Amino acid sequence: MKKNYLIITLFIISFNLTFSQNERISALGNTTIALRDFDLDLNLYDFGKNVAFLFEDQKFDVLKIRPGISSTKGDYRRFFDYESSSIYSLNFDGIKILKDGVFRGYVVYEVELRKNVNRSLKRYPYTGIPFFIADTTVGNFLYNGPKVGFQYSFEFMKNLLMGIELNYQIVNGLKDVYSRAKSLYRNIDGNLSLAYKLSDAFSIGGKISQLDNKESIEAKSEDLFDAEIFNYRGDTYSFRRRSQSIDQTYREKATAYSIQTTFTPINDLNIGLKSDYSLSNLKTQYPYGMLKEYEEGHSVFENLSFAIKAHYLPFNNLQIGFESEYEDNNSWSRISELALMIWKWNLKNFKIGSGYSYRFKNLPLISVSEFVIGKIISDSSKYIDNKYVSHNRTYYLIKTGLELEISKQIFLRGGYQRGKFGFDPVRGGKNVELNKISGGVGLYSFKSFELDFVIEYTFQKNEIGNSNKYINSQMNLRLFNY
Amino acid sequence: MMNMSDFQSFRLENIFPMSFLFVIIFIILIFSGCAENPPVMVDGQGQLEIVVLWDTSYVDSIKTYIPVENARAIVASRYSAKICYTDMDGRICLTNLPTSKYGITIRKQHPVDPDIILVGAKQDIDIISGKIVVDTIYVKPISSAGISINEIYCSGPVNNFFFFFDQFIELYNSSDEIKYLDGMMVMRFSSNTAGKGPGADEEDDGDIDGVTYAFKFPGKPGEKNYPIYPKQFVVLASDAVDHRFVCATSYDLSSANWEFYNQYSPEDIDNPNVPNLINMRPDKTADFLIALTSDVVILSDGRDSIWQDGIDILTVVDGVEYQSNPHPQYKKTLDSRIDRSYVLSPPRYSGKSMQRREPGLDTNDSLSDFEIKDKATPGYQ
Repeated sequence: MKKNYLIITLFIISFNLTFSQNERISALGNTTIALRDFDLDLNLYDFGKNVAFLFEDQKFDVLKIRPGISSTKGDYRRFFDYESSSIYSLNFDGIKILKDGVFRGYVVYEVELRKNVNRSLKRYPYTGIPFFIADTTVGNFLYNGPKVGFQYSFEFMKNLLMGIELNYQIVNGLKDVYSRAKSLYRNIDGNLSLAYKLSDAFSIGGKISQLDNKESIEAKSEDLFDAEIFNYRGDTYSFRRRSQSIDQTYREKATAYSIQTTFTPINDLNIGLKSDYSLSNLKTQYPYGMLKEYEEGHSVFENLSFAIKAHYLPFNNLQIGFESEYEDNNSWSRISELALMIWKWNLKNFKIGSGYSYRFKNLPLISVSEFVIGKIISDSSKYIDNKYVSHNRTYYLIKTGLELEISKQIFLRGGYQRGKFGFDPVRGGKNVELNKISGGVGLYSFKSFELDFVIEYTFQKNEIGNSNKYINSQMNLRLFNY
Repeated sequence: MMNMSDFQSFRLENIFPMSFLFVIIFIILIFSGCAENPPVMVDGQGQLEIVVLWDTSYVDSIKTYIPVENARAIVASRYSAKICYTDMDGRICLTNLPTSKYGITIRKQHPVDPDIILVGAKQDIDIISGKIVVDTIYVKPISSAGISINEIYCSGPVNNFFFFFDQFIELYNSSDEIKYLDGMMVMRFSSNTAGKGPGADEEDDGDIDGVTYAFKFPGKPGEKNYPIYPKQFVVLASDAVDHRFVCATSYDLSSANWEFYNQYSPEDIDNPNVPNLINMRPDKTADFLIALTSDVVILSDGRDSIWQDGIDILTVVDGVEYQSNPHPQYKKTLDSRIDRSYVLSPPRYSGKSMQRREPGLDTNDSLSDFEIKDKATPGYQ
């Protein structure tokens, strides 16, 4: 669930291009502010990601089976990026209402083929860590592995809910040409959460999360060649390591704290507030002489965010939504042996958005539109490379979607997103334009199952004409009373 | 006596209520995150200012220093090597350098005599971020005058059955006069690992220690039976055969000038058409083979042939150390009077060789003297 806090942060700031959690929302242009949907309720579980509130959020048994295919291709990329990627996933996600609690368990198996990865042996080279590992070849990487996890929520005192979540993931990677690098990514994360329901109109919660992940990379040629890799410190400077087998490890430990509240000050107005703080320590290590693990570098990430979201229903068929979020991400990295800082990065993101969703009275149609405007302030000091870059750019996103009810059982959906980012903190491009169209179908109201399907096409282009294309399709089969 | 109801009441949650346990876990987790303060100093702020001067007292009785203009400087650190040139005042100023140990080699063609090169070097300059290092390098004229090790091929050809028996060492006479190989010795230094290392002057007694293999040209030092002519390449093959019959990616060494032959080995190949260097250590029964990526090779004039107590540095004609990884991952061991640095060797089983950038030009600084060639060139540059 949390590969890296910074990755998640950056992806949230940018745009969600990975597999979505809800096919209906995706098909309606990813309209998350104003749309009325079961997964967008303003409660502590959906809004605050507080597992303790699962007890209140879920009231029926369901098993979701979700196969998905996603593909990315383009030349809007950075030096160590891949040329194209295809991801195939299968997800089983079940919720069971127990006698004194609610249990949710899931297992995902994901296969990713990355073509023409330029030299990088690390799966995610750009996560704010300046310690890259690279060989000398361009090759394909195949990653695959499962992820399992569960959530359990129960009421141990009247109106006081407790939740626990645990996730475990393993991903194996293999490069198909010299240096035949193998990588093993292992992640364990979990959280404990509390929620107190003072009344039907007021809930408050807190969550503490721990994360421990490790990416081990071994370059070992099957031929008799020595494996030759380069340890980069920043973008410019690297030193060579050569042996029959070369190892490197990235180890991250993180702690995150979160508090949330939702309340209803007046009828038909729901408000949610949350704040998150996370601190992550990542060490880059390799075997060296008599030392089992030599710490080459150390990176620290500290993230703080505040968010507010409101839903207002002036009429029964109209919902107005409002959302605002502020994030402050700080990171720094040092060479451990010399205790010298080589990179310091501060990234602030502020966004504000609003929208409506409206169910027509005379037409079997729901219309939803949203507008988000934000500002990104990035201040990067790559001391070792003597590169100092500052950006203070705005961005906007327009999202719109339509859902047509063909019959009580069949729904057709379409959506469109358009956005322009003055600065893209993920790939570093300027004036990046985003166009995304989506379509989907829902087959509902059957006694034993429901089915949603979505397909999305995204086109992303920066100011100098580099572009990426994304295609994502996903199905969700929900079985009830299984 | 305890009855069943007592057992039922003896439950963990009755002693430690579940809520209490969770509160304890919460408190532990709250204090588990700990922010570390960032370092005060930053990297990439080092500065190096070098003045390159030529001490003309070598050719003139009056000692004067002339700034060396437009000299090529190779600045090497653990990160990389970069080339820059001195300005009109013989200065080089490099800024924004990352913290590391640096070595600088200066070269410039003599303004009058093309056979002379002005050479200077300084090793182990500690550059620390935020500090300015100012230093002077004095260049000396060096003429290409004598026999030197011109090429070492030891990595083995591209193969998957551990074939590396096509090794050779190439000598070159860069002088304008005939030199003689009589009695000269070619040695591999790889022992003395318990002390300062192979090729080091262990007791500071003027000789280098750690001889593993010692092979000798026929004759005695001073005799003139085995000439090496001016600008001639001489190939010393481990086995002077066409290795391509065994491994297609290997080299034809059947026309090598000399062959290492271990007379104490029952199975060493001997090409009767190629004269032999013979083994001086009866306890060694293997052919002359050197390590694929890391070793020390010495050519001496043979006047000191008692290898057990080390080889007198004054008798060393040339020596080269090569290593697979840069300092500080690997330690340099060969005495700096013979070689101030080391060659970064090519990967094993790559078919690549180490060759001097210019034939025979030896400034006793292998890092800048040698380059890696994609193909070995036995008998030619």
